[in-house]
Parts: sequence; structure tokens; C-alpha cells
Amino acid sequence: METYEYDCVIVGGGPAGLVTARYISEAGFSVAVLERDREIGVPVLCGEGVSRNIDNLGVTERRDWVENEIVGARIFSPNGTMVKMSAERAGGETGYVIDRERFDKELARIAAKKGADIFVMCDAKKANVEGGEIREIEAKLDGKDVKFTGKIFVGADGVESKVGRWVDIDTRLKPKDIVSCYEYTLSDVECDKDYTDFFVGRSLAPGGYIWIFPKSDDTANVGIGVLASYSKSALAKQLLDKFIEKKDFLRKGKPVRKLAGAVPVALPIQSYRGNVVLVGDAARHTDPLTGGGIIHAVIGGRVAGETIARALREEKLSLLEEYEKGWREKIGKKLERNYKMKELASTFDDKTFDKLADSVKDINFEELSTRGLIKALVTKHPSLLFKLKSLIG
Amino acid sequence: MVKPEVNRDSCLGCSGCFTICPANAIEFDGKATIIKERCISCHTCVNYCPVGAIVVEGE
Ligand SMILES: Cc1cc2nc3c(=O)[nH]c(=O)nc-3n(C[C@H](O)[C@H](O)[C@H](O)COP(=O)(O)OP(=O)(O)OC[C@H]3O[C@@H](n4cnc5c(N)ncnc54)[C@H](O)[C@@H]3O)c2cc1C
Ligand code: SF4
Ligand code: SF4
Repeated sequence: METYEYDCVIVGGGPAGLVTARYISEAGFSVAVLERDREIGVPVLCGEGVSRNIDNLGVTERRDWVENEIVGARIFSPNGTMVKMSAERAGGETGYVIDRERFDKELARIAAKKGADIFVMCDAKKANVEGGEIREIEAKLDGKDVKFTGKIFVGADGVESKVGRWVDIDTRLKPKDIVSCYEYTLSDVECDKDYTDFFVGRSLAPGGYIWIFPKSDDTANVGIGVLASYSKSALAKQLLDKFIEKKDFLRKGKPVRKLAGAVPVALPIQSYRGNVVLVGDAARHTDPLTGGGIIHAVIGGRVAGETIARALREEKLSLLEEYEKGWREKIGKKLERNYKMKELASTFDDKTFDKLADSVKDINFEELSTRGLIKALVTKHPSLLFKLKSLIG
Repeated sequence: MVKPEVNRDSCLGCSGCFTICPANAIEFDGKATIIKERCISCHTCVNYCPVGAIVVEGE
């Protein structure tokens, strides 16, 4: 069997794996990225919304992946009450609608330029593990059996992560911690290209939401996420079809893409063990409230890449613990807070969403503070305070 | 209960069923396959599938 030798072997060629690879190769170590699909960035499994913060992370050079610049987000409660936020305030997924294929390819181009080897059509099948450490990975490359050896291995293999399982990290998700998604890219629609729209409600999208992310004024990603604990067979698709049927500006749209996806909305899991590191969706770094994961995959990927380079340089695996510290510092608090919010929001009925929207619809979000929010709730819907106390306290 | 099956033609490859199966009874290689010997017929995957590609025979 043909064997490839590297300092580090990364399973998964999404944002997490590609950014990790870039920082390892930049430090002068050899690294391979194994991607099962035949092309980086394809198929797209994403709503393609991302915050402008992506510009500050320094991971791209070209900008051809920006399809549309967004002014703000609009959230609609079940009775149609609208809450508007500027892009800066709305966070995670508001700022740009991107071409995810081009975005991932740009990350791949840079990783490759820095020296990383990228293997497409390379499915990592199993690992040979000794004493809790992976020694080599068996893969199918262009349909042929091959082996990859390395000192450190990275699971950047997305929501489905198997790498964690190989070293006994439990990556299974409970139904309340995973969202079942379905999305169309619709052309020949009429949409306001300045806004990303979110529709919430127990009856509309239980435990999740419906999104409209415009790529231009006639094409948009229209998708739905349903919390798996509320899901029934094909429910995501049925609810989305129903929603589209009721909206004049969407009904005539023609799907140019269909996709199903799974989004972890869990607390992060153990992110390293032995000589293995998990990054991005594999580490459950997706924002549990919004389901956005691109930015976190990039942030975690950089910390992972820099830490792994140090561990290789000093030949000390124990340094990998710095990775867990590093990402916790940057996104740990936010993940925990938003997990709590998700747990709470997934219990809201339609009326609660309506009251909440009514309470905050006139607030200027540039100035919104927790105190301001409490004040608004006290004056308008005091009963909500009780529901929200676990967050405010 | 009956063990479900994946209709590979309608599977869109989201991997959710693989990630959610409590019994590790699903294999995923871009599409899902249920390993009947390990399946405990809990139907978690059936309910999960966003497009209804996991079916129970006779339903
Ligand atoms: C429907 C949907 C909509 C979303 N919308 C948004 C959004 O609007 N904004 C946002 O920020 N996030 C969104 N997300 C989340 C976002 O797509 C993920 O968080 C992000 O892709 C995580 O990046 P990653 O690199 O960790 O994993 P991925 O991008 O999933 O990459 C993992 C890669 O690993 C490969 N792989 C897996 N197993 C193997 C193996 N054994 N061998 C070889 N290769 C393997 C896969 O083929 C894949 O290419 C959405 C997700 C879904 C499903
Ligand atoms: S949940 Fe459905 S679409 Fe997703 S991988 Fe499983 S069978 Fe395929
Ligand atoms: S029925 Fe349950 S045990 Fe069987 S494959 Fe589906 S989720 Fe796994």
C-alpha cells in the first residue's frame, strides 16, 4: 500500500481544515489535507451568510467570494412583527452573503501556496490507534487504498466527524443538539438585497428558523432549520415548501440548488486527546443559537494551526492543551451563553416570540444593553421577564 | 419495530442521521447506509431526515 508521510494529517477540507493547514505550513511543517469530495467547496452545504468580521481575521486575499453586502438583519415573529438590526449588531451570519465554493477555494489556494498538500477524492476510512494516539490513517485516494502517517492528526471533518470517534471522543449528538436543515437557492425571486431575513416561530420552524439570504435582487438562499427533537420525517422540507408557497415574492422562484444539512447546536466537546485535535464543526464550535459556523471554524483553525506548529517544533504533544485554552478564550463564553439561549428559545411558543418582538421592536439596537432590554420587557410584557430570567440573572 | 432503510436516491448526504444515531448503526461515505445488525429500531434517524429519505418498509 502506498504510504504518504507528513508532520500533520488533517481530515476534512472545509474552512476549519484549510485554515489549520495554512498556519502549520506557514511555520515550516509538512501537512496534508484529506478531502472526500472531488472538489474543495463543493457541494455547498451552507446558507452562505457571514459577518463582516471575516475581513479582520486575515485568512483571505482575494475578495471574489463576496456576492452581496448586507445592511442589516430583519427578524420576523409569527404575527409578522419585525425587529430590525444593523449588520454590526446582528452578529454571526449578517454582513455578507458569500459564494461558499469560492470562499473555500480561496482558503485552499492560500494553504496550497504556503506549502500544504491537498488531496481531493481522498476518503479517510479508518485509523490505526496505539496507546490512545493515531499512528496512521487508511484512506481511499482516487479509489486506491493508501496510508497517511503523521505525528499529529486533525479532525476537521465537519458535523459527521469520525476522527474524534477513532480516539474515543463521543461525537454523537442528541436530537436536542442538532438541527435538521433544508435549503433552496431560488432564482427569479424578488427580494430586498439589503437585508437577511429570519422568520421564527414554533409552528413555522420548531426549535429553529427560516432564513432568506439574498445573493442578489433575484436570487436567494431560502432555508429552514428544525431542531431534531421536534423533527418528523421530511418535516424540514415540508415546512419550507409551505412557507415559500405563501410568499408571493418567493413562490415563482425556481430552485437552482437543493441541499440538506445538519448543524450541531451543542456545547463544545473535548477538543484534543493524545495526538488528535478537533476543529470547527467537528469540535461542535458552531454557534448554537444561530447555527453559524464559518467564522468559528476559521478562528479555531488558526489557533489549532499555530498550536500544532509549536507542538511540532518543541516535540511536545502536551502543548496541544494550549489549543483548548486558546479557542475557549476567543469563543468559549459566547458558545456557552448562546447554548443557554438556544435551550430557552427552543421552548418558546408563537405567542412568546410575538411578545418578545413587540417588546424590542422599537429599541435602537446600537444602544441595546441588558438593562435596556429589561426595561423594555418590564414596560411591555412583564411576564416575559420570568421566562428570560436565567439569561439575565 | 421495523428497521428503517435509506433510499440512496433521495439521500442528499447531510450526515445528520449518522451523527444522531445512538447505536452507531449508520455508515456515512457521502451518503448514508444503515447496518441492520446494529440498528435498535429507535427511528431517531427516520424523524431526523430533512427530506424523508429514511423509510420504514410498509409505511
Ligand atoms: C444548511 C446549512 C446552512 C448553514 N448556513 C450557515 C451560514 O449561513 N453561515 C455560517 O457561518 N455557517 C452556516 N452553516 C454552518 C457552516 O456550514 C459550518 O459551520 C462550516 O462549514 C464548518 O466548517 P468545517 O470546516 O468545520 O466543516 P465542513 O465545512 O463541513 O468541512 C468538513 C469537510 O470534511 C470532509 N470530510 C468529512 N469526513 C471526511 C473523511 N472521512 N475523509 C475525508 N474528508 C472528509 C467533508 O467532505 C467536508 O468537506 C450552515 C450549515 C448548514 C448545514
Ligand atoms: S438524514 Fe437523510 S439526507 Fe441526511 S444523510 Fe441521512 S438519509 Fe441522507
Ligand atoms: S433506527 Fe435508530 S438505531 Fe436504527 S439506524 Fe436509525 S437511529 Fe440508528
